[in-house]
Amino acid sequence: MQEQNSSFLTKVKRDKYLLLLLLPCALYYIIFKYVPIFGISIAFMDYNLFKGITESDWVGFKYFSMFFNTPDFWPVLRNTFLLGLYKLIFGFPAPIILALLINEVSKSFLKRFVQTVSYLPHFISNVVVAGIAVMFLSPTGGVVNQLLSAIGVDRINFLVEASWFRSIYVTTDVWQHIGWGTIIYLAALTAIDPQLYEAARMDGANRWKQTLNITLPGIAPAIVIILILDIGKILEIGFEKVYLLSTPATYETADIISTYVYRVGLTQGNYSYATAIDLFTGIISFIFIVAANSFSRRVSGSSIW
Amino acid sequence: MKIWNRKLGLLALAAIITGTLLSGCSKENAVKEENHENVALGKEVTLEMMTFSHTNWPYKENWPIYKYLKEETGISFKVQPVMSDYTTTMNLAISSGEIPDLMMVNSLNAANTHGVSGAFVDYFEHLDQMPNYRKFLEDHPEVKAAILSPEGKNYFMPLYGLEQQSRRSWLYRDDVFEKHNLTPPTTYDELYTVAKRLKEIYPDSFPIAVFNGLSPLVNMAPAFNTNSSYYYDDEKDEWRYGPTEDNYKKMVEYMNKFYAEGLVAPDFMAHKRKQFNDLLLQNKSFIASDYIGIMDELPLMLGDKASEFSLDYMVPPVGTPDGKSHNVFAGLQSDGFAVAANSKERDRLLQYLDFLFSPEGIELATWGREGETFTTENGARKFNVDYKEFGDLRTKTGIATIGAHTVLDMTAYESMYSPKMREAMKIAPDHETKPQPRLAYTNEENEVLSMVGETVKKFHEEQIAKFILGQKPMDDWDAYVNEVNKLGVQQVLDVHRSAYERTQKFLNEAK
Repeated sequence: MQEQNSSFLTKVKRDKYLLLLLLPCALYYIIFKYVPIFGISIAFMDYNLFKGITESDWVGFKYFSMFFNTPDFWPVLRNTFLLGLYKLIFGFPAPIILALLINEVSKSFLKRFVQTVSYLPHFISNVVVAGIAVMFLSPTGGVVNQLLSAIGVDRINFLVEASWFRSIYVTTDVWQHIGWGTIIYLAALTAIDPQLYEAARMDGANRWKQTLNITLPGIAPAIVIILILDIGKILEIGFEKVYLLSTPATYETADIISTYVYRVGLTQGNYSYATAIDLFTGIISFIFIVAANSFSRRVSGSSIW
Repeated sequence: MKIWNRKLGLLALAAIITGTLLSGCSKENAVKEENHENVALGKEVTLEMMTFSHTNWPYKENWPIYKYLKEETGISFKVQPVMSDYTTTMNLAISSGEIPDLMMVNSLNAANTHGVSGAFVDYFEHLDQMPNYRKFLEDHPEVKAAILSPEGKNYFMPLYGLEQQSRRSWLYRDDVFEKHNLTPPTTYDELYTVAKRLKEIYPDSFPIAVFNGLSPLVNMAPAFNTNSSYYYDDEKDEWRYGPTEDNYKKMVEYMNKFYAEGLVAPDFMAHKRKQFNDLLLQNKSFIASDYIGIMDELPLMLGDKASEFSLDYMVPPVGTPDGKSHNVFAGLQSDGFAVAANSKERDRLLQYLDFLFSPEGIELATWGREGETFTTENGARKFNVDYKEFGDLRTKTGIATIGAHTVLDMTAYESMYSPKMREAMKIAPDHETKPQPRLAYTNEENEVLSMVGETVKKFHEEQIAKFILGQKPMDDWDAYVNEVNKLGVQQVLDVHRSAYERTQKFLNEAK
């Protein structure tokens, strides 16, 4: 015991500068991520801003049962889940495909150009993206409808049809984030040993076979980790773009947990209720991520922990 | 936040220096006199104020209006201007316990919630110190009815005047109407005919411009003698829910017809202000329902090409025989002042606010200083020529910005309107609904409003939207009424009724 302690201390002493480098990062997590966790307690309180956390009255699970009992609970949960799921199904593979395509481009100038252009939309704010969508999808002057009528299809009033909402949301989302997502895969691609490709070519593999048997397995660990993280984010649909793109006619598919929280919790100053709902989605996301991780560990052997 | 607010030392220092300069008293006296007894004007203090700063006229420290107010009252402010997300910043200040002496709160509800927990001063307890405020409330019972807490107290000091600028109204392109020899409609049938005619002349157009979800219906409802939400019916002295009434159905039928025949833009619900403006500016819409101010604002956007573009006030068309030719009164300002309960200079501050309700205070806040912001010619006042429009006046002097007034005499700004707008502002009050009561709700009532009320509202909006878009046949109306009632309309109505009765009781007791 004694020895272990002293060896620990000597290690600390030896690495003190390295540990010092770690300090800001640790402090960041403690102050901004761990301390606020105690704020969760307001989900179980009749929280009053002026009285604060210490003096507000406890109400137990009142706000949770309130949420479960509202008639909006199931529709809102279903919409959130489906929107997240579609976003995962279409948004997750898109950057992988783009990364593979970019990787096949041999001219390095063109490669960089495509990459830069594709990740620029990531920096456009949601307000602007929603504005672009409204303009493009306009049933009268919008580009999309002009194309549709040019090929003889009836014009579609996209923004007031509940059935179109998810497609619009997911499409704009893929467009916004596809380039950004490729960055990590392109980084993973550079780690693949070029000798593997040479060997494959010797064996007579064409480009498709090379992609299938070398490139994809090469970035598989990165894919799995991103997938697990994305699964954890299924219920975390941002508020802004949904709010901007939805109209009363599309509430059926567009009303999600965060817009519900905005309407009922925040605009009414009902912080406890908003926190309770947030905690609920947090717990579901946690279950998702743990399940995905253990599933992946069993099936593919690679996992986050 | 802490560093920002903790400036007791600075405050003392400011008191010492200014005290010595102005009243010539010794340093010790200046510090000692900083207590509640001495509220005589002249001794200067600097207090903290948090207020909303509009992006079009952001707060400037050297705005003359605050200088004038300081000269008059001896109070100057260290202002924390907030540009966006006022609610969050306000709540942060309250929850951190560092509440500024004077604070703009952006809803009656917020003032009441925090007031009842002890954060803010109850003005009613200090009315003996505030004769002008007391008189103002006596003269404006509708304002008094809109500022009470559920316990009949008052933590929210109203702002009065600017709401006249945000009038809703119907407008039409008088140049286009004249060109084709058309007359502005007075009924919804005429509205339909004239819009049809315009559509024939301009096939690409959507003659009636409305935008932003179902908000157009809010201003249309009075023409059908109904309302887009819960409302107090003066004539029958009862609370009602508009969206299930037969008259409301008639309004929806008209909208459905307008939509089906392309008289409104097919995606008007998704339109924001930009698309709305574009339709009008590109000669694709000729009749609009919006704020009255766009009459003067839109031509400015066209710049040199504006020569032909002309909007004018249109008397609101009537939809049903019992409908009224009314626009919806947008309501009193939602912002108001709250005074921190633990402010060291509470009495001085109350005196300051009371001054703003006095005739001299209103005049100063409205006009500024003679010779500096305005001049008098032949007995008539005129603003300095530097201020070409109302916005100019605000940017350059701070006059009529939030935080620098409680009451404004809006007639003063008439000279800054175009002649047409001036004319419209004269007619507008005759075509306006009475303001709906703004009520204070208890916590339990608020819970019903946010839970049941929001569920009802969402269902109502969704269904009405589908009726208008023809995604649902009008025959389903009765089923919709049943369904929405089942969601708890009555419960919400009861909340409004009891809150209203409570307010009436407080008002009658005070008499």
